[in-house]
Amino acid sequence: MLEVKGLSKSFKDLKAVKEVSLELKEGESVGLLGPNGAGKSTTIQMMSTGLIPSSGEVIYNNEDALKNPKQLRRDLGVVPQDIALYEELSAYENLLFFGRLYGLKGKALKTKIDEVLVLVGLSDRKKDRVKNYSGGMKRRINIAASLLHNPKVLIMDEPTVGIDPQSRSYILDLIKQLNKENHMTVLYTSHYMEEVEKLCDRIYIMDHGEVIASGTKQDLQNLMQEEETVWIETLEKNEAFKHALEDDQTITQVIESDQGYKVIAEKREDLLGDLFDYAKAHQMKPTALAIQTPTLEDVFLHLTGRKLRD
Amino acid sequence: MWTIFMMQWKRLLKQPFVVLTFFGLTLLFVTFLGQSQTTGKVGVQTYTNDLSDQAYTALIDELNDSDQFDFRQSDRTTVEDRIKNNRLSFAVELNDASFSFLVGQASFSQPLVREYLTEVYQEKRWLEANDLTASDLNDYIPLETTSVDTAGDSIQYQTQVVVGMTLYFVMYTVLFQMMSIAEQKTDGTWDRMMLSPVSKMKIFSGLFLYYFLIGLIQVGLSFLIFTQWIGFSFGDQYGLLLLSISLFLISIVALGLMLVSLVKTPQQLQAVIPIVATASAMLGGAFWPLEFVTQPVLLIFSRVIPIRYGIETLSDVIVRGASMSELVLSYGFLIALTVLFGAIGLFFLERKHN
Repeated sequence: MLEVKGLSKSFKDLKAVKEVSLELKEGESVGLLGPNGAGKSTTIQMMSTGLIPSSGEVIYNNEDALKNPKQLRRDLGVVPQDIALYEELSAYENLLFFGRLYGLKGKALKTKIDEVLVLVGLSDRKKDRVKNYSGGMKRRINIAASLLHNPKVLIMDEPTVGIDPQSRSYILDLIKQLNKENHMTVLYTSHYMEEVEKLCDRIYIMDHGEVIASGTKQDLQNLMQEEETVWIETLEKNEAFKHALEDDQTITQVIESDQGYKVIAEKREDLLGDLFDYAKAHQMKPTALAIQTPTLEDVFLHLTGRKLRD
Repeated sequence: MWTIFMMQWKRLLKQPFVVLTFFGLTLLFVTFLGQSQTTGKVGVQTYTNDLSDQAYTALIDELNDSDQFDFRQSDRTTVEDRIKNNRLSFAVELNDASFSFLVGQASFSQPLVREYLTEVYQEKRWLEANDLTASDLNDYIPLETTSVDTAGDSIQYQTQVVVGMTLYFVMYTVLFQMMSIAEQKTDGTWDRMMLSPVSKMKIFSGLFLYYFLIGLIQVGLSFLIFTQWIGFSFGDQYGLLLLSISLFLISIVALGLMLVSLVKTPQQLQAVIPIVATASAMLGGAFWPLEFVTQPVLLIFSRVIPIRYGIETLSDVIVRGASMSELVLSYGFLIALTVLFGAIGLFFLERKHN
């Protein structure tokens, strides 16, 4: 349905996006995962024809969307990362304006506005000025403005940044509904791996402007089939213990957190026993030690050596 | 296009502060400066060192034949005190064969006073050299010539104030309204518009029509109020008045587009607008007539400033009743500047998009 091939973008000496290729099939929900500065926003700006790439193609329904962007723009809803609304106007006035930009008018426009307001749960606040809304409400109206023209493809650039858990959950459920019930094709970018895990059928992982892995969640987890993730919960921290783990040739990553250590190591039978031995040797008393199923966070760590939110 | 155009009005109604402020400032400044000139003469404090009381009084009477100036007798100590206390810009020492200025700070009227005194003293010298009196001179030069010139100066000054201040403040209004483009580029609404099926051409047309009209309404209302309020006459060439104002406003919109394309943030634009508007007004003759500017470099600069041509064409239409053919050159400059600014603006906006 929508495909980009070999997309690159340079800003002076900085190569922000390098040879990115990705595809959205009709009705699927695709995640674009990567840390801040990975090139996700630049990629979707180019995909939505808002930014001209240095090289590469954007193909929509077998047509070159860079040469002829009109059809894609008609079918595309973009939810920008910023709150792209006129804050001095009410939500209703904003929706009237953005609806008219897509050729909606009269009763059809008003009906559609009422419909999306119900969808985002803000019917009772539609006359309030946007500047008086909470962060979560602004995010919801930001999404509503992209849904007025019944887009076939919805591109969302980190739509849950900086909001409370309740609003975040509301938005994630809404996106799931749009995808599953309204059959809207969704490209969802985020650096929250749990959101992408929850919403997306397929995932692309980006880092330093490149797609470094892609596939279903299972495909990505399989990248770590030679490795094991072990969680060591401890009450205290011990630098010598950490160094000992890091010095072990079979351990690829040691990540320290408030509650303990996460260890990614080659799969082997005596791994847990060795970890116990390291703890004992450094007078550490783990309160729990468990093998975990690798998360997308672990996959990212495995691929890049960095955490997603570094 | 109309959706974009109407949206700007809606936003203006929610936040009319900037437009109302500059409209109010136009009325305030023009009323203050314009009326001060029409209701009275320019007061000039004088003193003398070598004239007798009788000769001093006679000279003052002679100088006060002018409709423009009100020469007043004083003494050096008094005027020195007043200049030191910033209550007076300058005073004139009047002597039998010459005059000199005691200046505290630059004043708009000082060059006018100098010009007038030079004329009077040259005439005095010529009469003395030819052993004639002022009454003899009347046989050679009809009195009307002098009175017509003086009235012309007065009208020209008032036109300068009315037109200069109106165009200066309308520049602020239009440029500050155009700041919304920079704001929209920052908050994402600009991208949202650009990603809609509405063409760029229609988006820009809707915006430019609004900026142009808001300027036109401000100038039109200001002129209308000046006609009623201070009795200013704009002549009867309404077509040329409208054309002059329109070409000026279009060039300002193009200038605004260029500024928007060159800055990165609304804050930068907010800092740039007053600099550009005030520098334009100073170099373009909104604060004082360009005849007072003697620096060739500044005069060359004024050639690329729209307000210069706006004031020139409007003043020519109002004061001289100039015809279209006399204004073609200035209109040509305004159109050329519009094309130049617009091309630079669109080039840099597109470059950012690319």
